[in-house]
Amino acid sequence: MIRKKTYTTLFICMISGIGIVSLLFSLSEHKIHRDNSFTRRFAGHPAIKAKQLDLSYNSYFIAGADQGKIYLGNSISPFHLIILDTVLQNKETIRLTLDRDSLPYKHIQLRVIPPYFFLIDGIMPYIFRGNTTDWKARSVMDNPPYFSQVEPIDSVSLLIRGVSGKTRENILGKITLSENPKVDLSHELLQKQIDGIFDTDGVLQYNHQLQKLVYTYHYRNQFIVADTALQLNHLGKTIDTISRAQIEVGTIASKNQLKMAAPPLTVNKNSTTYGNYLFVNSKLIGKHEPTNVWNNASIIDVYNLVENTYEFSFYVYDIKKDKLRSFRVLHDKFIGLIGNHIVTYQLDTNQFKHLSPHLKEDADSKVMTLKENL
Amino acid sequence: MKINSKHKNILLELICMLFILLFVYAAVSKFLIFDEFKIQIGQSPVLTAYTSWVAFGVPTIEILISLALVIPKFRLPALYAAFTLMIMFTTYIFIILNFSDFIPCSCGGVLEKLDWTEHLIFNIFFVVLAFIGVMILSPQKNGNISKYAYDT
Repeated sequence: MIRKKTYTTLFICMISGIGIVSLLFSLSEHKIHRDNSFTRRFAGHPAIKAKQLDLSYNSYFIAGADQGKIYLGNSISPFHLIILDTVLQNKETIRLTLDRDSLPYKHIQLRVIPPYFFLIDGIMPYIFRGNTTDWKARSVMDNPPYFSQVEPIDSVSLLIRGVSGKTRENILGKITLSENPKVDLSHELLQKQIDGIFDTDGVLQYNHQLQKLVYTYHYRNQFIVADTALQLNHLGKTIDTISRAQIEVGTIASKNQLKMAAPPLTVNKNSTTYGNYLFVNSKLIGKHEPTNVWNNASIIDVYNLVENTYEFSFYVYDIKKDKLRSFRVLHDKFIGLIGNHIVTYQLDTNQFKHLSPHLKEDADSKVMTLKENL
Repeated sequence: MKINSKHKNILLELICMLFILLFVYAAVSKFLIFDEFKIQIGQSPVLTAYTSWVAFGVPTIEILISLALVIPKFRLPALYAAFTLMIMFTTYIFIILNFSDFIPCSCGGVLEKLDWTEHLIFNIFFVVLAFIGVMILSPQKNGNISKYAYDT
């Protein structure tokens, strides 16, 4: 009898304990995953999955893509490089070398823009450059500034994002390599809303076809298009409604640190640009979109940078619970890294009017059909 | 029978002491770095809406339970409370691990060094301890009362 009472009390304690925490969770989930009042356009099949290849590791990133070739760097093994063709069949492994024996690194990044490549660390900091025939890199700038992101324009100029020494806020700039290297900074491009560090965070890219800098904010519905002189071309708007960054920043005085004090509302997780287009992986679900698809796929919104319009959206599906990590577009292929895999999606050139297949591949397939006909 | 109950009492004392050690340690290490702790709580997807309540409430409750465990009269309710609190922590970890796409950490001191699975086991161990404590204490207390009731 007494035992029974004890068990009952313990049971009530257990249920209420689990109940309270579950309730807190369901309420906060509701807060984060609320409906958004915008509608995406889904028409036809702008992108269809074409190929998939297991790379065995999830540490690869896309270091460059050009002329039918995809260059994959590896964040764990920074001197290792893989070259793949867009049908993911021919694989070539390269070992990068330096003009010295060893090189300490903290956040080393590889960028390939044939016939050159860059090995860059914005924290150490240093910039090494080499060519894609011997894959040997030499230092090309003494004492470069510190930076957090970098994208080469060509062999002698690089776009960077760093922190302004004056304002302690994020800033975009350009390094020009020469006998007397030059650093230009633009205080106007990034617009502070809250703290200037977290709220202005985003993805820096260079569109080689349009020769424009494109910067997509993570926490607001905006992207910046500027020319190589860092002059603003126009501000683009992504389709959602989050015009002000919804983040909270706190300071830990004892450690002199600035930290996110609440989970941020991420709008645009990642993006890439090619031809006239900007491809944005958004984190916000629109009206009438099925949540079960969202649980197994990532959404890509396509914008036209020349006409400054939203075109349409398509899904890139998860592989074994892994979501799309990073992506690039080359010719008429969308290339994505998902977990250990690399995938390609064939883009429909009827919908992507300004994209066309790589000429060589086109020629190859014609030779193939010719052979088949013979 | 006598030895058995003596052992039970030692076990009970040990359990209470472990809980006091755990809660006082956890609460003090949270209060010592309160601004950091508050940010860590805020980063949690489950708790972000109730940051200041939770940041202040959790260590306060831990201290209160520790105090109650020292006072014999409040020992049983304190063990029930400790049991409930550990169940809540365990549920929280379970939810964070299984349903959240973002995993923060906000445990004090050395507990921060545990990974989430170790933490889960650690918590379940303390849930079991509280359970044993309640089982030892409750028949004694109720038994005494009922004995007196029969005597009169």
